[in-house]
Amino acid sequence: MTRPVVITGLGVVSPIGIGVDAFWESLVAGRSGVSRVTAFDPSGFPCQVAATVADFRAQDFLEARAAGRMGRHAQFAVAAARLAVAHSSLDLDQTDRGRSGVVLGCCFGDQAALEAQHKLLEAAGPRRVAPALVPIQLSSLAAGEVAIHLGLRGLNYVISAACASANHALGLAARHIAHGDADVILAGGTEAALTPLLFAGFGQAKALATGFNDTPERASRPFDAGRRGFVPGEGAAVLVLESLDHARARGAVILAEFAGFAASDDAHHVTAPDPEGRGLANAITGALADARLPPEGIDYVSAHGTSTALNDAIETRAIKRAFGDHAKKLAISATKSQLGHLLGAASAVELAAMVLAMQHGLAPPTINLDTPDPACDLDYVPGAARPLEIRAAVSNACGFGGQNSAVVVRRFGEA
Amino acid sequence: MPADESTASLESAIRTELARQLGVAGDRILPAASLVDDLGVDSLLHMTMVVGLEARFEIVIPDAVAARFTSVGDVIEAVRSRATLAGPGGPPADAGAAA
Repeated sequence: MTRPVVITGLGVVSPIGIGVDAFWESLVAGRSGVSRVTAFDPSGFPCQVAATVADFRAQDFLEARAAGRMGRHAQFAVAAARLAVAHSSLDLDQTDRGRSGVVLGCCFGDQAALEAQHKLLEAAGPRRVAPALVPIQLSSLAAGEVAIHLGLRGLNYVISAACASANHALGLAARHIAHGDADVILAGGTEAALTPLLFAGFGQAKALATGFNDTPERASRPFDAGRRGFVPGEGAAVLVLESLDHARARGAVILAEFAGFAASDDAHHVTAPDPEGRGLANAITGALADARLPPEGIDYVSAHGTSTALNDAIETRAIKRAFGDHAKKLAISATKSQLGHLLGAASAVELAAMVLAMQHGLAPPTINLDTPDPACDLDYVPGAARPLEIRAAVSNACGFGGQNSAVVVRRFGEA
Repeated sequence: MPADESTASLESAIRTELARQLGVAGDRILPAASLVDDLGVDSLLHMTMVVGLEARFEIVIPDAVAARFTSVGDVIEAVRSRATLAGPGGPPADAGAAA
């Protein structure tokens, strides 16, 4: 990258806490955000558990009228953006708003509104459909609403790259700043798509956790031999990315350097990863090269770790392929064990966790890893958080369609 | 019920639904209030209001009529002249603020 990019603020809306302090406290305590589905009656569905942001109140962040015509994914995005700006002490009135942008990952938009309005269309005809349906439902309005509510007139879009969306968004946002397209970008991801139709669809694809409907907190168990699929979740995270010069000029507290990014595709299958993990390994290797770091320069990996049989075994293979012998020395956390799988928002929340881990010198645990799977034989920080000095770290993301991306962050000032 | 009482009930129901659709307190739903200047109604909220009233009172407000609304009184009159209280009674779950 041509111009150094730094992370100066974190805003999190997650199933285990809203705001950085609540989020981190839950994360290091190993608290699960998974419970029985409340967004709809899940009776009759094989998977009846989800990671819901149960305590989210839109009115804490938005006026009632504005909230009423925003999708839940956009409400999350605005909330996370406000929290991130506050966390970074960024005074937007002293910032060039024309050089301040928003880049977010999101897969589905407000899927619940789409499904409800479709029912209304079928029952009562087109005249009854909400005039605000399209802006409510569009995934891209997540970024648009952040711009409107915070007054940011720089570049603005949403990336859809399945469950790698947020990592892609963060990486491209950093590229924009490095290239000089913007000085500040609120980057991350948002998702709110816990609907019966998607539960049915993911369920039919045999991707969701089954067998834990009576013990939801045990359902997400990345790298465990008893893992049975992923747990859908909702939430958002926004990170304040700035050029180093911009951050220094305003005296910002620099949390970490955004050091590298690369993306790839397996070119293999719509839902299954490449069995050898070549696609993800290529993304990791590319991100390390972008950061000008050797594998040995990395202390910690935030795994994609979905708790599906295929992902966790193949991700393990990909990490070995990218890191070689150093793979065994890495501490690797799968925070989806606590957060569930936030789809298009997942890697944003996970990058926030990784930056906090670096700051606190503490690797969050992979919970529910009770019985090691022989195919998953690395150090996944099972059970409890562990003190760990982290000079630099990698965050992985993979999605349907074989889309992969990896982000490298480095402790600021680290050579 | 006597005709004047029925009229009052209908007008009250219209005001209640308008306040709900516009997201404002009921005491701001005054006949002389300007939709744009006093209540901040934009084009999208204008259409949301019309669709909500149509659903609540099982009526059709022609687009040409809705396009001429400028005050709360215009809206109340358009609904009152088309509606009865014999409709479904409750507000529809999904009209208007869909999320």
